[in-house]
Amino acid sequence: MKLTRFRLLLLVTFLTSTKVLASDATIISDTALYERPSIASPQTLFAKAGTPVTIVSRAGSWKEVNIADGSLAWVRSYKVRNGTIIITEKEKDSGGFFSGLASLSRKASGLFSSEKKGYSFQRTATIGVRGLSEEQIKKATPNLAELRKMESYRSSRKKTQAYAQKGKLKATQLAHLPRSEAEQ
Amino acid sequence: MKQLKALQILATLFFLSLTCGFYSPAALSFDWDKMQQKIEKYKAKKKELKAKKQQLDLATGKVSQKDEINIGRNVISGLLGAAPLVEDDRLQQYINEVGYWIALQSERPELPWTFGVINSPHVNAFASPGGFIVVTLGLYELLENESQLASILAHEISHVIEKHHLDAIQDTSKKEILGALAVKATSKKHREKMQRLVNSSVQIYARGLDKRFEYGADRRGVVLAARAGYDPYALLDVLMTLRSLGQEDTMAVFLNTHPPLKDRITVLEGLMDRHLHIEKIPHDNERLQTMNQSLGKKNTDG
Repeated sequence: MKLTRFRLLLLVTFLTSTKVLASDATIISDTALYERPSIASPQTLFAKAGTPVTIVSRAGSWKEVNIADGSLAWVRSYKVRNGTIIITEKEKDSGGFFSGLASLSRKASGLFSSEKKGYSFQRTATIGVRGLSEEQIKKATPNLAELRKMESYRSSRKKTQAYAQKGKLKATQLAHLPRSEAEQ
Repeated sequence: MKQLKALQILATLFFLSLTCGFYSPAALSFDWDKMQQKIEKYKAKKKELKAKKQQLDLATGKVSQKDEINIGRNVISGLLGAAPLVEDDRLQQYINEVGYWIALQSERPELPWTFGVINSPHVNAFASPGGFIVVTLGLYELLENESQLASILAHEISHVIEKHHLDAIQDTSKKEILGALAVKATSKKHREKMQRLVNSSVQIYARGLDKRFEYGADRRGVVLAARAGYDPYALLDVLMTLRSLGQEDTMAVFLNTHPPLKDRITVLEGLMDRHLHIEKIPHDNERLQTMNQSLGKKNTDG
């Protein structure tokens, strides 16, 4: 009896509010999925924002994903983001653009150790009203002490190269891309 | 130094007169005052020419690298006046290491590249001439990995390389630049004139650059990031995150000063598809998350 009531509760929760999706990545915007990493290849599926996927491989600006039903397809890289998300049905249907992306990013950055309390702006609140709204930029007066402080953090070539090596960053030669029409 | 020069001239004249057989005591009666006057006149002329050259350089769009750095330092100090640095040594050192590593792959590695995270909830990043770049905490906290941070810094570095802000400042603040550069850098007058220059220059950051320059910085930035060993597609991830913020208040200045995010994504995506051929996309080094976790913890504990 107890078990049945528990099952019923579980079912009701599942149907009415949120879905907890367990996967290592999520589709963040409604998108077509392709057979190969090219928009010229046939479209195989259409995925809604919030669809859980597993990233299998990557080619340029494309990611190959495994969808829950086991099928493989290619999607534009930026339309998939690492992480699992709790997404409401309402959010899922809200125009196909995942509005919770910013909170997902904030969480992924690791800067927030809990949902409510982040890396706060309170620590310098004593200085007064600060910010970079249009009005505040226009009224800004030079802060030379802060400039000198900023310059004290400047890195040296040697230190930077050691840092890059530690992060396994390899410098490569690459020519600049041609101008797009937007720049003409 | 001046006297040495005068003595040299005197000695030359003396030997010249000897060799030519014109030796007479009169040749030795040298008019020191006249010489001094001539030197002064020469110096005044030199100063005048320097000022004229500066005026001409400014008119034709040339500012020396030294002056560019000088202007940039002052302009960034204005932005720091609007929002100070986040009080965290490790975070500031971190952004300098990532930023300088990218700048070293650029066409102007010799600039005094300086980076900072500033304490503002607004989502934005700013570049000042000479290599001074700041990212707001509001933007930084949206970044998921080092490649995404690199993509923002590479975009801003590209503005500096291409002198986008310097050109814009020259267009709008010609008089102020000339005023500030014409007086001695250590004088009180210089500080006053620089203040005037900062006041007029920071307006550019509220108004924004020519939108074509933003597309240009996206295009060049992804290549700089790739040269430094980062995932060049990370910029698309960041633009997508920003797009999801919609019309939030913290996005107001950013949205006013940049082309629509939807257009930037489409243009960049097309450009990279056609022309960027990278065989292997590098994995992220997870440094940003590791550091942020300890920063977040420290902050919550404190």
